Amino acid sequence: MNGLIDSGLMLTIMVFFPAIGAIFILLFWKSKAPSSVRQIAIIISIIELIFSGLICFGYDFDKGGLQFSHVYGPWINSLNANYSIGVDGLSAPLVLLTGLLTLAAILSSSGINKRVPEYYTWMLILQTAVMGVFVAQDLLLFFIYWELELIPMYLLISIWGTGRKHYSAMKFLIFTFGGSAFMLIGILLVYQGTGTLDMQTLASMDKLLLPVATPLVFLLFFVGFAVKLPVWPLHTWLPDAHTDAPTGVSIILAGVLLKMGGYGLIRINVGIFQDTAIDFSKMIAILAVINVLVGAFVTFRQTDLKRLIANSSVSHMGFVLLGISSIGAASNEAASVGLTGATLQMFTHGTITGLLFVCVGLIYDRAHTRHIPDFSGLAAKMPILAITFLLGGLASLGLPSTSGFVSEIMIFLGAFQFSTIFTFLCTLGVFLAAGYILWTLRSVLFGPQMDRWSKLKDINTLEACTPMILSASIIIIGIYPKLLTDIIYTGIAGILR
Amino acid sequence: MVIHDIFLLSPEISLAILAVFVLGLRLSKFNSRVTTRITLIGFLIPLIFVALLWGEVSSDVNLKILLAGGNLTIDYLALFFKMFFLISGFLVILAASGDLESKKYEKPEFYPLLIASLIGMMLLPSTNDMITMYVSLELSTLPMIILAAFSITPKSSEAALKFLILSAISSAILLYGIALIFGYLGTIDFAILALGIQDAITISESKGDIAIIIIGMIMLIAGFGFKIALFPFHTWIPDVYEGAPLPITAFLSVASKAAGFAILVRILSVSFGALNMDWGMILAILAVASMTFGNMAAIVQTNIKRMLAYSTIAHAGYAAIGLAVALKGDIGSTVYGLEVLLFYLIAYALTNFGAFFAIMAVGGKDSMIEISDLSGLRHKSPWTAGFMSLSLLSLTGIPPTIGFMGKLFIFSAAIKAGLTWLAIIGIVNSVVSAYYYFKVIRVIYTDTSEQVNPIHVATNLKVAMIIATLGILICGLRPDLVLHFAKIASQNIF
Repeated sequence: MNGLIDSGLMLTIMVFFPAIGAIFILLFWKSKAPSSVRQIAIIISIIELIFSGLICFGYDFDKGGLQFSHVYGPWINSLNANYSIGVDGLSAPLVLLTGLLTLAAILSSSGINKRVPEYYTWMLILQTAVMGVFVAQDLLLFFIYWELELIPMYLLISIWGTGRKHYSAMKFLIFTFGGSAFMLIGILLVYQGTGTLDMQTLASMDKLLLPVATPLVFLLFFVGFAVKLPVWPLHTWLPDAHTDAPTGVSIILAGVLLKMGGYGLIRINVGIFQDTAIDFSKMIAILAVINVLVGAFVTFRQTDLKRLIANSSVSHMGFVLLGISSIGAASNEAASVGLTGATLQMFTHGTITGLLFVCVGLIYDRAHTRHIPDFSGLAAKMPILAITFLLGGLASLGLPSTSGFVSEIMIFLGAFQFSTIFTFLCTLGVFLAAGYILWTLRSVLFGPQMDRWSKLKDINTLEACTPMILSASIIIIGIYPKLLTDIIYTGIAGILR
Repeated sequence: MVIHDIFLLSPEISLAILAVFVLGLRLSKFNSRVTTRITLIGFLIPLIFVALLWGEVSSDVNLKILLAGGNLTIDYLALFFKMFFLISGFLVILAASGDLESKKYEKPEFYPLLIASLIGMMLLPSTNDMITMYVSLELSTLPMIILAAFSITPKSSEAALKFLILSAISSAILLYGIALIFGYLGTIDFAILALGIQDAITISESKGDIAIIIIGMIMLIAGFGFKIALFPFHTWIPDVYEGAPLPITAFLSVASKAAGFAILVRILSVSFGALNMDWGMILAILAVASMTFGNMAAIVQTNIKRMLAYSTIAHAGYAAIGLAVALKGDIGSTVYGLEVLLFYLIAYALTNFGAFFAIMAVGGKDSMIEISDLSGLRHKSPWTAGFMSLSLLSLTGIPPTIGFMGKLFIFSAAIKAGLTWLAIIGIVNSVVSAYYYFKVIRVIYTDTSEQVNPIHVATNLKVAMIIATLGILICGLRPDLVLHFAKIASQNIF
């Protein structure tokens, strides 16, 4: 085991294991029964979850820095690019999140009944791409994984989606591809100025000599990540894509893909362009406020359960931005608390939104509608589902003892020392969240029972697995956040100068 | 000495012998399948000769061998292109021989004409004066016109006629440009031209005196722009591509374009560098126009051949960015720009071949393949669907394909040369192009039909597709394998 870790192969295996599994399914398991394909996919993602757990909790946070790292080079001589991967305190939790949510997504994909082998193939390839994004330590490699994620996601939405799926898939593609175009220019400009693409080397440079003004390059990267996070006004692809995607894909989209944006902002915009990020922290804070408030107000008006959760993601990602803006705080301590909170928020939002999408998916499988006014008094018919849905909702609004509370309080503590007024405005978002979440829970779960839903059955044990796993992680992190904050804190300390 | 000269020309000579031999075999009613095999194996001979010549050049002091009284040069760049054309020709013949759908390619003159055109292209990057250049250019174009008419459908004849008339006009413009330059400087030799221009600049008091040379130059660019299909010299492309038989369209879109780039590089950088004019800027503007026009026009197409035709106009634009960098003026950017241009041409060739071969596998009447006809392809032939989609991803420039690496190098070269704005326009264009390429991928993969009869894809065509696909993937993951040769070829052009 130690030899495997030392050689750096461990991480490469972890990244490519799902893709190899996917190819295995496509080549050898294609003609088997759908249920058997599903079992194989579940086994693959359980093994992958174990891998990612080993990486995340095997990370030695006393030692800090980059671990499990592996450099193979030169890969492309003329761009001085290497195959360079590694995990630090920032990426370790996100690797775990990816493993966890892919398993959740695959478990809750039982409703997929057409072209089953292909579905799981793309799902697993998507996992490889996302894992790659979180562990890449070379800008070009990072970009390649970033782009690689487009293909599976585009096909997953446009083949297995519902509603205006083609429109939504194309919108997702063009927005993300457009954003990454900016990023590519940024990467090339960075290379032109510094002659290296290694993230650690770039982060350790005191001054980047770039061919154009540094803020411009900062903004190029910022736009690329802002599309993904998403930051207002580049967020319009999100409600469409989330709503029209099948349940499993929505979980991945909201739970993992958005985090790529937040990860990029912290890793590159804060990590490499730290001085510029401090200059821009006011702008980030303003965008955070807009995101939180606009997202929340738009959420209020939604009547479709999936659209509601999708829009609430915009609001919650605003908190991540607020945490990032705390980089402008005078004391390093505040900045690291804020950034740790932002990272934890990414993890918790992933599990909470994942849980909410699972619940909505389960309801939709039975009721065939997601229209909120259609529902009433479901709690009496589906008590187990109602409990998990309630837990997810309460965690989403930041109830103490759930992980949502921990991350939000850390963000506010960090950002408060940077800007009282923006933090105050963002806390309004918590109130608004309480409003729309409680309203939704009340009208869906409680209230008078309707004849229309008298035949609804509660979820069975098998279906309850996914909500239980996610609920457990929400509560564990809520009660004992040190489990992750120690790791994240080490990573943030390495990023802050 | 004579023997040595023959050795230096051996790739072309052996190809010519092959063409005549194959024609003879077929005219004497020899078995067509065996003839195809002989043709394909015959391609090994010129390939070996090119490899031997590569060694010969590397042992030369100047890394450059002159022959035929200085009319032809053999250097790394010329050999690079010879290799490029040979492999292109080989792949096209391999794919065409697998097209069982129609017997038309089995006519005796099909392969010989293709090989004749190939010989013209192979001579082109070696040429050292304008007359040899012109003759080679015509040798490469005329057989293509006949081949474009090979389908014997009204569309095909129309395509060939358009091709003939427009290429005649472009040749006329080219010749007029050559005449102007010869009339003023009294020479047609590329190297002497450069000296003549320098003299003319020192003698003449005002710039007005060298205006004639500049007009001649612009006519040359127009003539070659026709070959490359740069906007606004692209008008023949959609109709000819749509009407011509598929293998010919594939060959035209790849080899013919590369030939135009090959000669443009030589003539602009070697002879007219002294003019002190910003050729780079002219090409940059043409590149922007081509990319934007090609992509915009491709969006609205419903016929897949027309769509790919407009996409090749856009891709000529991306490649022209490399040329714009190469012609920026200083030697460093010439070498770097040329290197990325050569890599891009290979990326584009493999990608476009992949796409056209997949369409050939789909079959149907030559010009009648609508994008909607591809629906159900994933049932008819899952592998073809996969190859087609991979080629389209590579055309879009999404990793891990060679198309991504090609664009990456082109844009990084532009930024290196200080043409950041050009790189930005190029990248924005890539985003636009994603729209129509992904639309095709969607048609292939999102149909709802369940029972469709599988199509039979001939072995030769399969092999051709697999070669293109492997090239796309392997060079997409390890671009240095190819970039290495592009680097050597671009370093010693002066």
